[in-house]
Amino acid sequence: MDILDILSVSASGLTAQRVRLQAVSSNMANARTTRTPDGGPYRRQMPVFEATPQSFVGTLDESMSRVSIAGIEASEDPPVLVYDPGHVDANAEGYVLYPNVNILEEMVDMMTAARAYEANANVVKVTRDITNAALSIGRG
Amino acid sequence: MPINPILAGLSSGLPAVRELGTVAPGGASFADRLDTAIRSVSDHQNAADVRIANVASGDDVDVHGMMIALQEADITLRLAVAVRDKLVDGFDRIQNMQI
Amino acid sequence: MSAFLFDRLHNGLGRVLDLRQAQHGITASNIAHASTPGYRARYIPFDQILARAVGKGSQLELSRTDRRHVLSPGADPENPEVVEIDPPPWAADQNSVDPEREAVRMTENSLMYDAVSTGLSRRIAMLRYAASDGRQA
Repeated sequence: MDILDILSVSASGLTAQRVRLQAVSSNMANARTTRTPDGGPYRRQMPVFEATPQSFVGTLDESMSRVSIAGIEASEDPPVLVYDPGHVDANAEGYVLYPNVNILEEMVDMMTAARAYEANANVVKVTRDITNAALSIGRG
Repeated sequence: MPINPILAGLSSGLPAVRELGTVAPGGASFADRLDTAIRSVSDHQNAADVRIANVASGDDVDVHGMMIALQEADITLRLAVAVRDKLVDGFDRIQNMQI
Repeated sequence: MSAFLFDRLHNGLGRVLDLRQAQHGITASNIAHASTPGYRARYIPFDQILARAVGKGSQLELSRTDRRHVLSPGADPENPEVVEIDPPPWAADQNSVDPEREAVRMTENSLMYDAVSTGLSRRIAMLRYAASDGRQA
């Protein structure tokens, strides 16, 4: 379990949280997108994470693993229906299908992801501190 | 008590100094003074070791206590080396005196 | 000669640093997996294992008067035990990472790493001074 392994774990954590932020950004930008190339309204994007199996080999090293992105799922939640027969994208019953994006939920996600990102960045800083302490052995 | 490797190196000048004998009646000999200095080094080294072990095991995390003990051990060590050097130096001078 | 110079405490301190670094790696992994469904946070329990690493364990064994004072097999410095934390009942994704707990553990761990590495460092410096017969600062 060397310092470089630990850094790569934190790097994967930073990437994972950045992907979360990107998903939030996309969701918020498309909160009112009623039309997509696949037809139908935009659906909320949710990244799914998993622990990369056997990231490291060795007794203690097995307790450590990198995060990887299993995929980006589109939420199966039903779209928001708004009665507006005059709208271009209104359906036969006069309802417009809006994305299943909840702005408040996205903002909470954004704050959580930002803090988690900072937490990983702090781990990198501490890893550097530990390495510097090790390099000072014998100097004092 | 395990042999302290630091003291082993320090006492390399001892046999020569013991030959000097007593300074004056009732006064401490050079060898006695050196003995005291070395014992002080040993005590301080062991005290520092105990503190380091306590901090490392998490039993008594007294960090500044450990640092102070380490500095005391360092100072007593350097002082003992300085005393030894002076004594050996003095012995050499006496040895080389033309009578 | 080196076994005489670098005693039990010297090697034990190195082992303590190994264990503290391993703990840091596990904490880094926990923090990286704050959003991973089903991930169980883990840590190395340090109550007995560090004492054994610096050689204080043998004193504990001698002073055992009660049968209940058992040194757990997981407290072997060469083969440390890693404990998993169960997720709380309200965790929908079964993830048991608590970012605040991990941050506090990491702060304490790096602080202790600093303290031990400094103690070891100064001790080595004294050895070097004595080994060079007082010539090197």
